[in-house]
Parts: sequence; structure tokens; C-alpha cells
Amino acid sequence: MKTTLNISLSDAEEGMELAADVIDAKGVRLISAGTALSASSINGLQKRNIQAISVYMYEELTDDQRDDKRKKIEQQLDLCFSKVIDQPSMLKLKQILLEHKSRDL
Amino acid sequence: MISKQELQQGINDIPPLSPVVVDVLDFLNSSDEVDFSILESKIIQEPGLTGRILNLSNSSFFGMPGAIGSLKDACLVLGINAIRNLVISSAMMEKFPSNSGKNLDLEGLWKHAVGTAAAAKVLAKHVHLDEEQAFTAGLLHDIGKMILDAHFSEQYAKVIAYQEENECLIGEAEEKIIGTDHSEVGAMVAESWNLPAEITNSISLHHSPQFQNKPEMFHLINLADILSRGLAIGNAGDPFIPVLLPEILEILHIDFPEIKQNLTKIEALAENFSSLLD
Repeated sequence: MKTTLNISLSDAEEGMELAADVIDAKGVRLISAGTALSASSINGLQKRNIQAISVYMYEELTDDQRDDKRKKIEQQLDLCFSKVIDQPSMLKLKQILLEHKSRDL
Repeated sequence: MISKQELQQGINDIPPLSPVVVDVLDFLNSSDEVDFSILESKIIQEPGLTGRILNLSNSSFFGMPGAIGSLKDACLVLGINAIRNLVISSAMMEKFPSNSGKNLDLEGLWKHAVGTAAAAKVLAKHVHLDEEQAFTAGLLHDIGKMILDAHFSEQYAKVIAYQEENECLIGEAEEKIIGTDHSEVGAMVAESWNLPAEITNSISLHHSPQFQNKPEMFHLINLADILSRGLAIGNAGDPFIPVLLPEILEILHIDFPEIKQNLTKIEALAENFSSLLD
């Protein structure tokens, strides 16, 4: 399961994958999202005074956690679609969103 | 209910855009041949605006491989239309900062707007509409909610109470309490601010059920709004999704499998852009 986490640069480790572009105070993009951090890139970010970055975290879920996540996704979509579910097109859209959101589970 | 007169009076009392923004937009509208040095000298008078334009132009929304270091670079690389849209988007973000909501969760609403902008931009490519324009129209489509919350805040507190009590779409609560909705108010104010017609048009009536004879951009923003809600990006003011009319997919020549293929891309763009909001 892939989640996004904002971390302080001091907690950054080699191999972490960036979830968002790193942009400095002047608005210049230093590293693009999707790039894996290396020791030298972390060093470069420290030199440019970057405080925090957004990275992907991968976690192994237990069966219970997985069920829990799936239940939460279903609850949100049930509420979201509660007024319109009698429409066939909305039923289809809900199905697509459910498959999309639970794809990593 | 607010009478039409009161509403108009309230809208007339809304402060204009900053003189720098007005000047820049006038300058951009004045001719097709724009002198970038003059443009830069105008924009630079407002440091907040300059910073935001640079942030936005370096974001992955524009997919520029090289970093854009100055306003002049941004003008050269992105072109005048993109700069005009960036000036407008930046001015709106300055005007309604995410911590300034009186009744609304503005941070959540901006995220919803970013989700809509991301969906509009990603899908614009598939339906052959201008990506730039789709992005700005998506970002600003709910500006009317921000205006109502900021300038009619007493009534908007009642709108939110009504929405919660009746579990309806926020637009329905606005109709009930104020007598009009955010798309109409947003378009009125956008017009009074002299924003370009294509933006004003897509703000107005984006929830209108009458879909015939509307430009495709309307339908794209309607679809993008629905997807942003369905993906639960941010907070549109209520947890519900409006009906997506199947005719809209037909008009846009897009189908559900194609939409599904693009959901990950939409989420990634929205995530990237959200970091530029604060």
C-alpha cells in the first residue's frame, strides 16, 4: 500500500521516492516528483535550505487493516453517491472509483 | 433570502483586484505583441504575485523539463495566455488565502478546486480542449463560494447550517437561503473584475442541468468537478456528488474506461499542485 507522507529533510533517507516536486523559496524546481533520493541529492537539498519534502511510503498491511481501509473507502463512496445511486451512469462511476481507490489493497 | 438589489449592492462593495493585477491584465489585453521586459517590471511590483507565478510555472502542471528562474523566462517559455491565467489564479489565491474562511473550510475548498483543475487539465488533452484554459477554469470554478463566504458571511453561515441539516448539495442550500448560487455570484464578480470571458463563462452555471448549446469547456468543468468530489480531493462544501448526465460524456467523446485510466494521473497532479497553495 502506497501512501504519501510529509517528512522533515533531516529524516530523508537514500532511496525514498519523492511524491511531489521539491521547489525552493524562489519557486525553482530542484527535483521532480517520482525521483528516488540519493545521498548527493539529499545533501544538495540541505545546502539549498529545504526544510520538508513529501515522499511515498510503502507499508505491508495486515488483513484486518486492509479490510478496515476497504470499509472506509466504501463508506465514503456510499455517502458521496447516496443521493444519485438510482442513476445507472452514477452506479458505473461509483464502481470505477471503488476499483481505483482499492487497487493497492 | 437576499433581494437581487441587495446582492448587487453587496457585489459592488467587494474590493477590486489589486492595482498591479488590473494593470497587468489591461496590459496583456492591450495588444498581441507584449514587451516581456515591461510585463516583468509591472508584475514584479507585487512580490507575492511574482513568487506565486514562479511557483506555479515551475510546477509539474506545465511539465517544463528545465526550471524557470525568472518572470521573463516564464513569459518566454509558457507564453502570454499561460501568464495571463497564472496572474489570475495567483490573484485569486492571494485574495482568498486558505486560512481566511469565515464559515467554509477554504483550505479544503482550494484542494477541491485543485482536484477539479487537475482533472480538467488531464482530460482536456483527451477531448481536444485547451489545457491551460481548462486548468484555470477548474481552479476558479468555485470562486463564488469563496466570495459568498467572505462577503455575505452571515447568510453563508445559514447556508452551511441548512446544508448540514438537510444533507443536500451546497448549491441547493445557497439557492434556498440566498436565492442564487455560487456559480451565478462567481460569474457576476468575475465579470466586475474584468476577467476574460472564457473564464467568466465557465464559472457561471457549471451546475446547470441544461446542457444543450453550451461550450464543451462547461461540460469538461462539470465532469472535472464530479471527479474531484468522487476522488475525495479536498472539500467542496458537502460530501455529495452531483449527477453526471450520460449526455455530457457523449458530447465530450469520452467514456468511463478512458476516465478510469486517467484517475491516477489526476491524483498525482492534484497532489503536486496542492503543495503550492500555502
